Amino acid sequence: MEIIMNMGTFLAYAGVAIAVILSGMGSSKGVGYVGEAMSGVIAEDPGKFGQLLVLQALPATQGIYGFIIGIMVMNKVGMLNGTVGSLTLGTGAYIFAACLPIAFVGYVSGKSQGRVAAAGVSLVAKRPDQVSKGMVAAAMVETYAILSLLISILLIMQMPIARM
Amino acid sequence: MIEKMEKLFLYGLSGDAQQVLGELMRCGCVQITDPQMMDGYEQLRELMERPVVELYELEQTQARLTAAINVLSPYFEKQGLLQQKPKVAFDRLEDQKVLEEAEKLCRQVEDLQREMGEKKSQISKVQFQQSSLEPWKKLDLPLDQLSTRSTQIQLMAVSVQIPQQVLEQAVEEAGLPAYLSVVSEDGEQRYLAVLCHQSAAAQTDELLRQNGAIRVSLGDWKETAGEASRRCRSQIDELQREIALQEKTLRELAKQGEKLKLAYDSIQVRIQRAKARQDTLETGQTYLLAAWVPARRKKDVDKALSAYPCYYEYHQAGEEDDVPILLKNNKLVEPFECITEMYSLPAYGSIDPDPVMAPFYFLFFGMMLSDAGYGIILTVAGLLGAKWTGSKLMKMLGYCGISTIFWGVVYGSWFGDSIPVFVQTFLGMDLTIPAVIDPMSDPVTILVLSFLLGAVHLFVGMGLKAYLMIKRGHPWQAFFDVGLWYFVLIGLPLLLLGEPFATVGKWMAIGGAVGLILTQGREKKNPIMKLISGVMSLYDVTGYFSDVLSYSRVMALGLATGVIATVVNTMGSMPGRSILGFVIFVLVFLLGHVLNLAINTLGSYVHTSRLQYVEFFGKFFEGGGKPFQPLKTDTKYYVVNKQEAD
Repeated sequence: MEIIMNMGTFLAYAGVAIAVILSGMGSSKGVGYVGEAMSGVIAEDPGKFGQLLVLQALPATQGIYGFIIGIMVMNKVGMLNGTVGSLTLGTGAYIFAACLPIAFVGYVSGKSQGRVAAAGVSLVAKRPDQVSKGMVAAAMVETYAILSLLISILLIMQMPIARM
Repeated sequence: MIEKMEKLFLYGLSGDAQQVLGELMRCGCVQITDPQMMDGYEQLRELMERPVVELYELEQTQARLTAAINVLSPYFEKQGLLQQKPKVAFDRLEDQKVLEEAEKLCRQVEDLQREMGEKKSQISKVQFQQSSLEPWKKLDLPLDQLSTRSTQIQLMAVSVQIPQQVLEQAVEEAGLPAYLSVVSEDGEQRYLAVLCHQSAAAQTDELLRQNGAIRVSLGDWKETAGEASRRCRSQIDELQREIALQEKTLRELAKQGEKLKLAYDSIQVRIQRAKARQDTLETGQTYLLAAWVPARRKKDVDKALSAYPCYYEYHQAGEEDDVPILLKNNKLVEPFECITEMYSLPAYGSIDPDPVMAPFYFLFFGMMLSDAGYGIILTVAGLLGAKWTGSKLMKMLGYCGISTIFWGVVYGSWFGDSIPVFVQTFLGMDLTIPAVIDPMSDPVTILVLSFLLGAVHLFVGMGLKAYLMIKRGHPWQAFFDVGLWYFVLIGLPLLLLGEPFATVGKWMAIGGAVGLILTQGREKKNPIMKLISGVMSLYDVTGYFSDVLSYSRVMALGLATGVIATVVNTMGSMPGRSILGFVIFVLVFLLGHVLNLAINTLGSYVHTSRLQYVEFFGKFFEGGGKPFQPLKTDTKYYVVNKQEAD
């Protein structure tokens, strides 16, 4: 019985979790791909480390976006200072839904951006002066993560919070 | 602005060629072209040929100088990371004496290095001898007196795996007049002195070898092994002393290392000039040279050439010429050129986007990073960095920092909400930093503002396209392709604003759309195809709207900076009001904000660039220009002064 009473609060927590988990997974994969591709180039020319690190940092942002949404929800419903109370099932479900854009898009975008950035690594290996083009190519993928971040932010900011 | 280029044809006397090239190099505003690019190269080639230039010797000398500098480099004074290169007058590089002095020094270094090398290899030789003597130290016979008339002593080594008894038994069983004495033993080998009668020497030897022993010969020594080993030791010491002495000499010579560096640069200039000479045409008495010169710099070239007997003329760039691109902008816009350069230089005859792009870049970057504290850091770091390294990118980031400060003030963000949080946690007071627009409570305003600024950005890009069309003599095309879209794109959003704007917007949009339907198919012959192309062109409206939507990243990234900064401050203030809490706050503050600044500066840089490249440049930019690469002094250790007098 209690679990049904607390379903709303649970969904809000689940929203935070899924936003952070999925986007973090995407970024981890993305950053990982670039890291793997980097070592081969660094073995040849350690001087390129700085440029490559910039490429590796690019797919890290999706995880941060998920984190931002997580923090915003926690802040909005008072998970940080313990005033969360018991949310209505509706509110919890709204929050869960609002977390979904950044969760899913963050996952796919982080992974794909990692691929593009890893390809940028081989670009840097051959033509280090062209690093910015590799960066811009990777930034194209991030667009959709930014759009979904935006939707998640707007949904959460304007959401009415109802407690039982 | 793209600099206007003119083609220079220069005819001169071969004797002066080197000096004239030197003068042009000093000007630094002439790009010598491959003679194959000259008009009428085929005919010219029958009269003239490309000169043969002695590059080999110069490159050889440079390689020797590099080697000498490398030898001395461990002894050079440590240079500061940000130390600037010293300056040198051009005439000094031309000075033959510089080379002579360097040559002398170079030879000294080479000799010393060779001698040191020899000594070092001798040391390892002696060390090897010494180590081979080591096991025999206990043998107190002089090594040259190991045999008498009837007996002889043979030195042998055998693996410790084979027990001594086995050997002794073997000797005994064979009945040989021999005695085995163990001199020493280490972890792997046992060392034996085998005393035997001359007559049985060969047999004993054979027998022991069959049992796994090896003969050892130590070389010509007159003393005992112990004495010989000591002699080796003193020999090594002596050699090492000599090497140390020579190293000291090298250290002394390193003080004159500047001479080598100067000579290196001097040779470098000569090599560059020789390479330029290869790109001239030559009859034996005269030469011909073709080059690109920025029209604005013609005066400098005139001045440089005035002292030499030569004839030259300028030609306008032709249609089919591949004119190199030199951008010229005022001091504020110049750093932003690096953004365009990264994309591609504009084609000659199109426009340099920098003066128009720079303000938008400045604006959008500031809105994305949008924190006054970060802005201050970025400005200081960027401008100082630019001063030390001369990097355009650094300077541009420094400028963008100013915009960041501005937007930080507008959003009321100073390292996020660090000031209110600090005051509340540690002083217990409430304080709010006023914000013109608070992004947390009013994100929609910023979103709309981003869209509006984005729309202006796009309209300006389209305007540049129209400008190019008008400049090339197609004003109607400009009206059809850009003007009509202005009507549609301004008309449609007006519909949302309610009366009386909606009516105006409706008619603007309809007028524009009808115009587009009628004109966009104008290249098709078939009237039905004309109509279809016209109607299809309206589909582009989705492209324009998605372009505008792309500017939502300006708001999203701005918000992201603020939220992360707030999280950092919240985490820092969690331990509360105590000494330890304060220390933790400071640590979290430093670490968190440095990370946030780094990742968001990167994000702002990449995404602002993307807005320029994809949304803005996509409207009008014609790339593919080749950079202008003038003949100039490209030195490694020194900076050449422009003025003759130093």
